[in-house]
Amino acid sequence: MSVEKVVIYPCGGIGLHVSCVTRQAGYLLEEELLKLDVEILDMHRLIRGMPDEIELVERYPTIILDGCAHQCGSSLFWLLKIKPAARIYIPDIIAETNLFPGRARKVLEESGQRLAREVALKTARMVKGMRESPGYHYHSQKVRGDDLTLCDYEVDVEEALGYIKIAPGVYRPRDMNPLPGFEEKGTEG
Amino acid sequence: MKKVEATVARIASYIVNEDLLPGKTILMCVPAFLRGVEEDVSMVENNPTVVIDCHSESCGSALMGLIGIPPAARIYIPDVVSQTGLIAGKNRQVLDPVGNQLAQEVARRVAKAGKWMLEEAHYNFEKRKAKVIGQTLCKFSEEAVDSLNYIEVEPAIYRPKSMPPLWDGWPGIYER
Repeated sequence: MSVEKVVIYPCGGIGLHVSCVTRQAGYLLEEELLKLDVEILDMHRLIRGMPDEIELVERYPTIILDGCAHQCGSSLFWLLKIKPAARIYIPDIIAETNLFPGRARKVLEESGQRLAREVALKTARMVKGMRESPGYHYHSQKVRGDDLTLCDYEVDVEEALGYIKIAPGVYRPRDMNPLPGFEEKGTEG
Repeated sequence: MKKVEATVARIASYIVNEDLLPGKTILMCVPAFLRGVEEDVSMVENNPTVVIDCHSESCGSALMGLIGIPPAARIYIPDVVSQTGLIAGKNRQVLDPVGNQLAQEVARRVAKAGKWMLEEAHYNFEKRKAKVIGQTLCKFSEEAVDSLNYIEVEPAIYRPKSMPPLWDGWPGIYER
């Protein structure tokens, strides 16, 4: 087994309906699909400085679920000078599946539920690859939260993190480990 | 978002935003604020904010303290739980009926504070710029919350001492 656990970071937003989709996908992974293999990151607790949350992102590979074009999840990692193992970009999944978040935020509509499940299934495949491939390695990182400039929208997060597209909706930083199950010949997409 | 109380806070926000004070409230997206999305930065700089703290870690209050924008009011869910006897339940995806009732109670308190700010001629909110340079995240400090010097307006509803009074400033006259 290559990594003990994989961290899932749903974007943590609240206003846009798609933030409910990333959150739902996170819960599906933690409660139903991969109970013991994953743990959800609570970004509010992370920035608050709770030691267990900091240890989580430092010690285990993280998959970010970026809900919208602002890419706030990726942006926070860039701000804290750490890199995710991978990123799922929901607008790409919407384009791929033609499923939409819907109009209800309190409880997702059918389409939003199905979109959340698609996101969760794609993420689960990635997690399984990381957990089961002997060739997958993750080196711990250190959060650096000092002397930060917040609210700097000018940063091109995709470029700053060196994202490369692996499959529809699936990205990873160039210098992070290739994703088992997605990057071997004949398994893309 | 790990705890069920986080779902309670989220649903309470939607109840206020969609049902109790539609068109008069906006929801602050913390990740978008940190990202620098203009709408999310300007909303907290130019309007009074009601923070909903889920538990004793008080992540929402701490962030507001950190960026130098004290919230106009704070609803503290553990106090609402003690006061009402309602609990969050066990389901994070879709709240249990009791969790929904708790969310309604939280929303009622948020709306009460919000309505006061919107309707009282005496209420005087001062705009502030967020402190964004040379900041520190991910370092736990009691000071971030202590510096707000919360005083209790009524059970579960607080305001920083430095912020304009709510109905606590007009005892016996404006209590509602």
